[in-house]
Amino acid sequence: MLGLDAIPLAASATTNLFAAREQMAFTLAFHIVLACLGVALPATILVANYIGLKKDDHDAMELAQRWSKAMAVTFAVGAVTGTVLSFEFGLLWPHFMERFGAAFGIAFGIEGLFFFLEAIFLAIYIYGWKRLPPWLHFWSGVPMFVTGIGGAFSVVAANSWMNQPQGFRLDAAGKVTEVEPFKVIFNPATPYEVPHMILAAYMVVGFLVASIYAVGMLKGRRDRLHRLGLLIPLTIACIATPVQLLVGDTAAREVAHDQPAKFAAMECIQETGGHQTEYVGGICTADGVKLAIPIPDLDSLLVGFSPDSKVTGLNDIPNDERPPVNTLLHLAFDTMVGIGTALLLLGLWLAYSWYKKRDIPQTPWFLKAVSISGIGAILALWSGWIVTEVGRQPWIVNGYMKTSEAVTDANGIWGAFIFTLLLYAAIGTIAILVLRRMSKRWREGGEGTAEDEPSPYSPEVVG
Amino acid sequence: MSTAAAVILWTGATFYAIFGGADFGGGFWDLFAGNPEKGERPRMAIQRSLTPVWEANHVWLIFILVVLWTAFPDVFSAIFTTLYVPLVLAVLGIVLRGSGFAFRKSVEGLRERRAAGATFALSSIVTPFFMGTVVGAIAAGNVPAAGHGDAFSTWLQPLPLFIGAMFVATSAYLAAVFLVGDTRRVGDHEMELYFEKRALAAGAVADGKKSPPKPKYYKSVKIGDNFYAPMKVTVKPYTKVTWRWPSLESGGGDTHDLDFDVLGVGSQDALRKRAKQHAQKDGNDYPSAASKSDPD
Repeated sequence: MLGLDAIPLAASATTNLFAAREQMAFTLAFHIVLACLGVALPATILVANYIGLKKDDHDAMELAQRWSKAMAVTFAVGAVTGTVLSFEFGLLWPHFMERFGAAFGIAFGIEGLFFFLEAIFLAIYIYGWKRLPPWLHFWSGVPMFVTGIGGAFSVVAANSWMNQPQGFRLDAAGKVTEVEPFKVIFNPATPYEVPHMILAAYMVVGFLVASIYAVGMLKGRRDRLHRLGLLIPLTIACIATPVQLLVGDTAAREVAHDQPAKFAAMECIQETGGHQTEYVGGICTADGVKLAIPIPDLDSLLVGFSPDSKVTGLNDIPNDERPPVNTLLHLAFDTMVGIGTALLLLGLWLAYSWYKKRDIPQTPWFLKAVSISGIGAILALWSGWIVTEVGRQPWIVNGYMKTSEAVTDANGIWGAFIFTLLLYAAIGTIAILVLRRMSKRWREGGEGTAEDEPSPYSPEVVG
Repeated sequence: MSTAAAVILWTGATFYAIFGGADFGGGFWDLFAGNPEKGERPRMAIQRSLTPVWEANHVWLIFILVVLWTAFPDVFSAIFTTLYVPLVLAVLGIVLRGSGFAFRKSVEGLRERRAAGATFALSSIVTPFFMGTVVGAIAAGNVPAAGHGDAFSTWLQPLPLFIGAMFVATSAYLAAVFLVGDTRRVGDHEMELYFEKRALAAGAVADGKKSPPKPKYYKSVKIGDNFYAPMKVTVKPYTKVTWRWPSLESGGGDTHDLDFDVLGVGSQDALRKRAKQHAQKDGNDYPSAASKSDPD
């Protein structure tokens, strides 16, 4: 009735599929936030470190120091949740790995290397705060920035390949042979998926860190440290946002062209043709979109720059190859675009105020907006991944293998899922508590407290 | 091609066993270091040697998984559809260990620190144990090539469980040996002796024998002829392990012998000699095999 596909729970294979998808979705959603911190926090830290060194700015140095100590905690937890994901490939999707591991695995091998290097340089950077000459210490942190981007590139390239598989042949038994690594990594979806995700990481981290300092300022902590702590990450995020909207717009056009089923589902297009209406919000049904704001011809215009542009509708997609839960997809897409646009406006507000009086807007509404921007960016991130992943369903490897063929027959996935929910809830809560206590300690201890903060990568100094 | 991949995989597994293993062993000694007062110094020594490297060492595991699923996708699938119970328990151990380590430094209060520390230490035993049962079950030929073996009977057997226990003992031994070198480097004689004793004890367990002169324990296991499992695993004294890989393309033409003596530091005699020297006099510049293999 609501256009939501009924979720059958009767057959056990179907139950396994649903449980495995939920498990994967949840662990990915948890990990992606930590992964963003691993990708984009190094640059934020290095900017603060650079300002601190160049202008002899103690506040900026203090911020770099604090952020690096916080990153150590999130990096350690992220490493763990990332390991869980690599196990899940085998535990939940053994048949996917069996048939496509040879192609799919390559990008992950490269990712492993980048992660290895990032772990090493993070340890050096954190360990080096008191021990290395300041500029050498700064440069020891630069590889973290490079490896963070490299790691994001390889993992997202693997996901792009699932959307646009190429660079292999299938033998008579349907197994992958003659893998061409270069073609696997640089598949047609890589050029837009990879920058889209890297920019998303910078937005999430920038807005998230800024929102923490915005909350502090709203509580009356209006010192220079808070101002810088707000401005550095917020500036990075506000630069990333307009670029992201352009990349996202290109990505949507590419998806319309290369993955028409996904596009038709996320835009609720029922019939192939020109003059497609763009629906904002609403509920997708077979007889069109209900409760939406319709904008005539806009969808065609966005796809092909002309109201006559033809867009494939769901009627041209075989019934068993249509993505499920249309409304969820459509709303996820709208949420992502909506939040992205709101964040763009926030950036313009800051830019205008900075241009006029070299300061942040003085109204508390600005700080209130910034303080929710972090959560907003994370919601947009999750929505984007829902569009990519749910939109590819029923395929796990687009056009080659269905997710239902990939799933394990093992029992007990629901049990494992519930256990994972509880375990991750505990880990998430402790991580947030630990970070809050760290910040409280630093606030009460004043400058220099962060220097002595123990971290998972720096041993306590003896003697 | 697949032989080359097997060698790469084997190399990765060896590095993980040595470096990751030593980290797990650190957790082992942390667990048995006694009450907070008594255990403070050994725990500090363990922390000091572990903190900067544990994450990088952990990456070898990811490396093994990625090479396994890229080079031998059928094997990966066969293992994961059969041994998912110990694998889930191992990954649970990894989650608890990593977060325990991440949080123990940053939480306040003795009780919370102890809880995080205990989580880290306990899971340092759980993880290698279940990884050992996985390796043991594969080596015993219990994993059908087509996968989907029984979820329990494949690994709840003497050999896999024994290998699991051996993994824990070997990890403890490796950690103690590394820690001897580590504490020696910073000139902490008391701790050096402390870990020396433990290296000898763990070495005896891992070697499966009590006194060095005559090997009481010599085991040669003939195992299944799965195309991916080593044809023969020989466990000799002095932790020297010989793996013989069958050729993966043909029915077993060329074989590759890969010898592995735990960095040459596993020699019980060298450690024992040094322990004696220690007892006699307090010298600072005696030679030792352990210092050469210092991980840093």
